[in-house]
This record gives sequence, structure tokens and C-alpha cells, in this order.
Amino acid sequence: MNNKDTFDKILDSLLDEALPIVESMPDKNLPEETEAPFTEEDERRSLAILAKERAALRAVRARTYLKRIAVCAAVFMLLCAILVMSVSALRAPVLNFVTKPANRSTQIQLNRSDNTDELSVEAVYEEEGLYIGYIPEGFSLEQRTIGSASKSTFLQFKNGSEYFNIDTSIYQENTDITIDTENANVERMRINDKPALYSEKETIKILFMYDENYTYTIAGNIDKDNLVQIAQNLKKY
Amino acid sequence: MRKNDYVSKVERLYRRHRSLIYWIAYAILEDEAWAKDASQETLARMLKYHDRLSFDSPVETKNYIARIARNTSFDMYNRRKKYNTLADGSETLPVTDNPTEEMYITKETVNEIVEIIRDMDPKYSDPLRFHKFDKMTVEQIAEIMGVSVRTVYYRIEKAKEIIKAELGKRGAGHE
Repeated sequence: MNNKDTFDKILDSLLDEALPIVESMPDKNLPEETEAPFTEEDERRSLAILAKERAALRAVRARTYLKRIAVCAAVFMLLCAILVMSVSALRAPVLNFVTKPANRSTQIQLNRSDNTDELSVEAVYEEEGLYIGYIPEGFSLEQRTIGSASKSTFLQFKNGSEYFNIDTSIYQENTDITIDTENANVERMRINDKPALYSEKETIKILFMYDENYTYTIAGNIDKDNLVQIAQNLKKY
Repeated sequence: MRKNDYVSKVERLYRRHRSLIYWIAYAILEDEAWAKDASQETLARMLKYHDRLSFDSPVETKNYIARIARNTSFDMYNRRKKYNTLADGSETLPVTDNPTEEMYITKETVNEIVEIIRDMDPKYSDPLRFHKFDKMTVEQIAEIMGVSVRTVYYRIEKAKEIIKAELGKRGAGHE
């Protein structure tokens, strides 16, 4: 370090001492503060500058608040997610709520594990006996349709505004049956050792099951117990 | 001070010192309309650099506002006249004798520096005071003064050279 550098350092430290003293004294040669000839127009211009600054400040403040709200919302959502996922009683309903709308329908693939020959449609019609072992009290047959094209049997029972339908079709290997389960409570069960699917909405309840030869769809606005009991006592020969 | 209160405080300071601002501007621009424009521009710059305004020290505040007004007016003068008195690189530091050989630092030196700065051309003392006292960056000073960053560096160095030279002279005088 040469003399000049040393002197510059000393000068900087002297300036650090001197400048506060300079600033503590009024500057020399400042003009006298006689009233300036400002007009109303000048006043308006000044106010406009101040208003612009305030507006910019408000915008900055609004952005800051929005950021804070977004962060709080994110933290809240995170905490809720942690809470929901850690409490099993909450987890199931929430996951159902999230996933149910996506499940507009349930598909059941008919698939038989053994290799028995398929029944012919003619054979089914020839055998056409349908045994219904249980019919809730007060219900009577309202409609009976044998669909030649759809190869199905359809029966409708009614009791005033209450009704239920029994719809049977031939079991066809590797076909898909689609049941409307959108926004429905769905339950898989077994009836007489046969796989079954129960779907319940406000207006309609559907019980679907199948055996080696037929598929059975029992649907109506009667209660679940009655539907299950009908299914348990239903057999197509 | 709440961050949002500064506009009201700057407004109060401006109203208190606006005559001073006007007459500083008028002394430089020698035109009433220009001086009024310079006053409005000074208000805008006071808002922009409000964090350097010391609301607790009236003298410091007045000096600071006077510096802003003076430099805003010079800036406007140069822009409007399209006359730049200090084009980049046009000024060169004067060749000075090495003052360190002749100068003796005493307790009086600080007081001498105070007087030298107070008597110095504001063109050189203002950037030094903005930089060393108000802790402004050279970019900010360049914006306030309406000159390039290089010119700000030059003027700060020139101010120091003037101080060195003056101290050298006074030291020689003491001998």
C-alpha cells in the first residue's frame, strides 16, 4: 500500500466524521424562503403526483395481501390434507367425494372361469321358466316383456307409486354390463354365493347379479332389504 | 414510521419547503414556469427517495431537499437547453501535487474539511454528500443529477481531490 492509498483511507474516515457536521448546519447560499408564486393549477399538479404515488402504493399493498392470502390458503389446504389423510374416519368420505364424480358408471365384465359351452338363445327361450320366490306384499305384475332382439325377460311389479323391475338376460361370455352408478352409493356383495353389485341413488336402487347362465337386474324404488330378498329368491331355469 | 405513511410525510415536508425548492430552481433556471416544473419534479424525486429523508432532523432534511432541488434543476436545465456542461470523459482530473507530503492531519482537519465541503461547488459536493452521507448508490445519484454514472464517479473523486488540494494548501500555510 503506497502513500496515496493510505491517504485516501484516512480521507474517507475524515469525511465520515466531517459529513455529519456538514449536514447538521444549514447549507450556505440557500435562497430566502419568501412565498413562492404557486397557483391553484400548481397545487393540483402536486396533488396529482401524490395521488399517483398513493395509487401505486395501494396496488403494491393489494399484491402483497393477495400473496399472503394465497400462502395462507395453501398452508390451510396442506393442513387439511394432512388432517384428512391421517384420520381414517375423514379419509374415506373425502376420497369418495373426490373420486365418485369420476365414476359415472360401473362396468362388470362377465367372465366364466370354467369352459362350459354357452347356451343358445333358443334353448333359453325354450326353458323360459322364471321362479320368483319372494314378492313384497301388495305388489302385482304390471308389465311382462320378452325381448326377442335383446333376448331378455322384463317384468315390472307395482304397488301404487312403488315399483320394481326384474330384468334377466342370457349370460354372454366376455361382455360388459354397464350400470349407472354416478353419484350413487355402491356396494359389492354376494347373493346365494353369486357376485352382485348394489347401487343406490335417491330415486332408484339397482341390484345386479349373475350366475352361470343369466344376468339379473332388479331395480326399483323399494328399499334395499326387499331388493336383496327378491334377488335371494330369484332363479331362472 | 408505517411504510404507507411516507406519502403524507413527504407531502408535509414538500409543503413546508416548497418555497425553498422553488427559489433554488428559479436561481438556476431563471424562469418561473421552469422553476415550477422543477418543483414538481423535486416532489416526485422526494417520493422516490423518501427513505433517505430524515424526518427527525430538520436541518439534514432541509439540506437534503435543497440538494435534490438543486440537482433536479440542473438536470432540467441541461435537458431543456440540450446543453451538457459535463459530457462523459470531457472532464479530466487536474494534475495536483502529492498533498500527502505536505499535509499534516490535526484535530482541526475535520473542521477544515467541513468548511471546504460547505464552500465547494455543489456540482462536486452534492454527489459526495449523497454518496457518503445519504448512502446512495452512484446509479441513484446519477438519476437525481441527470448525469451518467461515470460522471458521478468523476465528481466524487474530484471533490476528494479538491479537499486534498485545499488541505495541502492550508497545511503549507500553517508551516
